[in-house]
Amino acid sequence: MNNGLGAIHPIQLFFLTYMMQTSVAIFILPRSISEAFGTNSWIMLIVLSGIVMVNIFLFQLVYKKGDGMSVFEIMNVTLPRMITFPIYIVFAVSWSISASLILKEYIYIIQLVAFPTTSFIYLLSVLIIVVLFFMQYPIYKMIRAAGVLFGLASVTIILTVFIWPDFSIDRLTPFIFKGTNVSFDWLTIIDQYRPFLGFELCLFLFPYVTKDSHLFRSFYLGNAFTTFIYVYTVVLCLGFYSFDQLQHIIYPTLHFFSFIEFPFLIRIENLVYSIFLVKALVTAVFYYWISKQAIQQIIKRESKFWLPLCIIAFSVFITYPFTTKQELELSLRFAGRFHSVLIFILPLLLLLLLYIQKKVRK
Amino acid sequence: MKKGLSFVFMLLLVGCNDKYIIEEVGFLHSLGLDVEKGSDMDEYLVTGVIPQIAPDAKNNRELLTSVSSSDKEALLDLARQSNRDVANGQLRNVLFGKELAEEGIQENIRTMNRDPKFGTRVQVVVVNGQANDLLSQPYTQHPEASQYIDALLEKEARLNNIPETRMHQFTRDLYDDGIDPVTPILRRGEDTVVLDGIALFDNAKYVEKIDPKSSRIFFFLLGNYSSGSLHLELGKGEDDKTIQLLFDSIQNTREMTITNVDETEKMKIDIQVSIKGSLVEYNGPLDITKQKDLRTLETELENRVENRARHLLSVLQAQGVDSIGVGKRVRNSLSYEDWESLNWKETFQNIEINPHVEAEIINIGIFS
Repeated sequence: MNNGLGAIHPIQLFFLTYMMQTSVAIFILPRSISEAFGTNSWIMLIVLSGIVMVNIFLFQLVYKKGDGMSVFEIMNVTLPRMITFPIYIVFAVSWSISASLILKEYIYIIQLVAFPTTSFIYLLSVLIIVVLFFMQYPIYKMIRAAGVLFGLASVTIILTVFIWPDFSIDRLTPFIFKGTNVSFDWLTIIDQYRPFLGFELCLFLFPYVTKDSHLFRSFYLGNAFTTFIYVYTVVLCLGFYSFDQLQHIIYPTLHFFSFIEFPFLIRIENLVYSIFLVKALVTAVFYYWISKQAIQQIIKRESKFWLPLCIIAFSVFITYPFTTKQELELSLRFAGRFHSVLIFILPLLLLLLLYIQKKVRK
Repeated sequence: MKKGLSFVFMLLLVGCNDKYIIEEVGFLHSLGLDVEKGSDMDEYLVTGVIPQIAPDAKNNRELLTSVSSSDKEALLDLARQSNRDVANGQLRNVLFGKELAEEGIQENIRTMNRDPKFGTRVQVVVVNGQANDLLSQPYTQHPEASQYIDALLEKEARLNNIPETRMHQFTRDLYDDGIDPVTPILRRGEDTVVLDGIALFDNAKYVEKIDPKSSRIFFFLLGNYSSGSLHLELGKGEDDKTIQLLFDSIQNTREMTITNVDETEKMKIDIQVSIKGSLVEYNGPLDITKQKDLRTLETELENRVENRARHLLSVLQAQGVDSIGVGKRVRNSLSYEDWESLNWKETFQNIEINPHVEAEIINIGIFS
């Protein structure tokens, strides 16, 4: 089934997974994960990635058991509207708020680094227009565009080579998960799961892929690539900064780019955060797209412009009070926690519904 | 229609905020920080050097000074003296006067790290004397003092005479529990700026300096480096002339062996230094074209370097500053609990550290 829109190639899905998962969270990842788990915290990234793989496997089970039925179809068939509608509203609200927060986090960073006196709402408006433009196109075109933007974003990975001469393995220390005051509990783990979020888009792509798209294989590989980039970034930071220093730097990944210097170019971090715009944009666009899909189940009307605009306006309105670093971090943390739990429970719920459907049919 | 509308809207949003017109911005190139003894409290004497671009200006630079209780406030005060917007984005070096460095520069470093405009490549330097004095001189051969200092430091770091201590490296070593930071130290010469060696820090407080003549020895103990040269005097020759030796294009490797790491009192560290290079100058009695004599000279070189390395280590141990990062290796040989319970500063002062040097003369040039 591809609704006659066009085929999605596996490589596009692979790029999409990476673009969805890595957004501005990678700027703070080395610090946040080191604060949470201490020395050599990169090991924990592999464990978290394993959980993501299990999560994608659950999506795959839903796809297999439901014969490619979309999430909404599965729910609509079994559950009454009284139950599905509030669930769809929760979907729409949570994903649109997350999208808005991601955009706001990005703007917060560019304000801090480059545009300290430019109005927040002004910068947000510029981004929202791009998001709206993006959403005018059908999903397969959006995915293709994300693939092209991946090319742009991958430049930053190449730039990290210039950090290598200042990397020292000694600074990694042989200690495992030491030197942290944060207690090792479920909430800490869920909070560190946030940088991996974005792969849940997979669950909503069922109606748009063909067998040749290899949806799940692409997402497994995409997540493996994201994990590789995360581990690489964290290890690089641990060898580039001293452990205590790392805990003081708000955006370690952005910070190390400022150390790179070419004879013709200095302060490369300004280039990097500009490039990261595309990552924040792709994540936000697809989150808004999920919201739109959920709302369309309720209002049953196709609207390319006004519906996305209303969703975006609503999410911006809801997240309007969150402007300082603390407020943004806290709201992102709670949104992340909610999503992490939701995308684990959702496939289980869907599997249960599919099981009930099967029983009823028999 | 809607796309058209959005497009027009987007054009309207093309902003003119946070703009900088290059002629209207004064890019601070060097910043000097000194302590100014006040009547009741110490204040900062801040000196800023901005390259001058006005075509009719007599000087190549704009020199601004200010006295204030906070370095940030002084920066604002500097801006009030200039007809341009003073920006820190192109700052190349921060010079701390010796007196201020002795009092500790932790807070200044922390503030500079916090401000995203400073960047991580700013050179951190100590001035043997006052930074203000060094920056305010009209160097006739180098009218732009800040660029002169910058180029001087870059060249010396490339030759391994001083460590490259930009804001990043200084902060990194300041926060590392297994190494103490170092910086280059400069002094004012006659119409020149002179490199005065390596400044050793105990945490963020300047305690001692290494003579420029021993700088290359410091690098032998610090890690693996290539390039740079070493000059040695090997006593008096037959005609009462001093025997000179210049060892050039040096490549060195360092290996550290730690024994009895679990027992603090018995801990012993052996630093194996291997140096290779070209013999550029030698005016002694040995016939260096002969293999046997060359080997004798190598042994002489090994002994001299070993003695100087031992002396250098004794200076570091006496001051209790682990500037060569022995602590990092000890930390990585211990369990986390053992390292945390170890008072490394005290241990470093009391353990036995022995340098062992192996020298190899690769060539003696192209004329014998």
